[in-house]
Amino acid sequence: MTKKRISKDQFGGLFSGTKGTATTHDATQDAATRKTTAPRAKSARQPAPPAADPAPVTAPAVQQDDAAAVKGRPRTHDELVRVTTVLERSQQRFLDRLASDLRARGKTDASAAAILRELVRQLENGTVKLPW
Amino acid sequence: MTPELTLTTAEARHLQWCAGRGYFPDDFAAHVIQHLSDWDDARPHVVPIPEHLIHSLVLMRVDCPDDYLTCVAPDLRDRLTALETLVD
Repeated sequence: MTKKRISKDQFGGLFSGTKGTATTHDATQDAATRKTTAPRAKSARQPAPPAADPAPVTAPAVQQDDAAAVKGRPRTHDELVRVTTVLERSQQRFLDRLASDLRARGKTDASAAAILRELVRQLENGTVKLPW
Repeated sequence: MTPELTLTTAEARHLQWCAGRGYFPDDFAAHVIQHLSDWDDARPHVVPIPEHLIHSLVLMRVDCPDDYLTCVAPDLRDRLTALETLVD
């Protein structure tokens, strides 16, 4: 119960009620609530100033970036962007099947997107030529 | 006797991915995933497969032969086709 009152103060009174409906703004109710919750809210805010040390905030963020770089796509010299393409169903099936075959042959990071990226790279290099 | 399929959780997740792409029946994948939800190891587990799910697999083979079991690894494909023979 105490936690609910404190969270209401933090969110400025805009929160869903216990039945899941938004509560209307009632000045008298707010005043009454403030009377009872103000000391508690104040005591809840008291520990905040010592937590203003920037070191523990920045360190985990850097670690998260490193972890994401290791887990995610391999780093390239260029920025990655998300692009939506429209393919024929048979083309999607072909790409998925090819990626699946490559994964079965040990290329664990093979995916339809990786195949398309490699295809564009080969086009850039001139290794693959378009018929028109 | 209820037909059974032996598969790992990784295979079950792959079947779910295939179902999302339309290469495998949704209800079949959901059943397998639900059955293996308590497991998080690499060991194969036995999942009882109700006949109506095997029928939906057979139906897919007939209706969408191009999509049927696309991207499913050959060994798992063999186990699934073996299931089909039980209801054919």
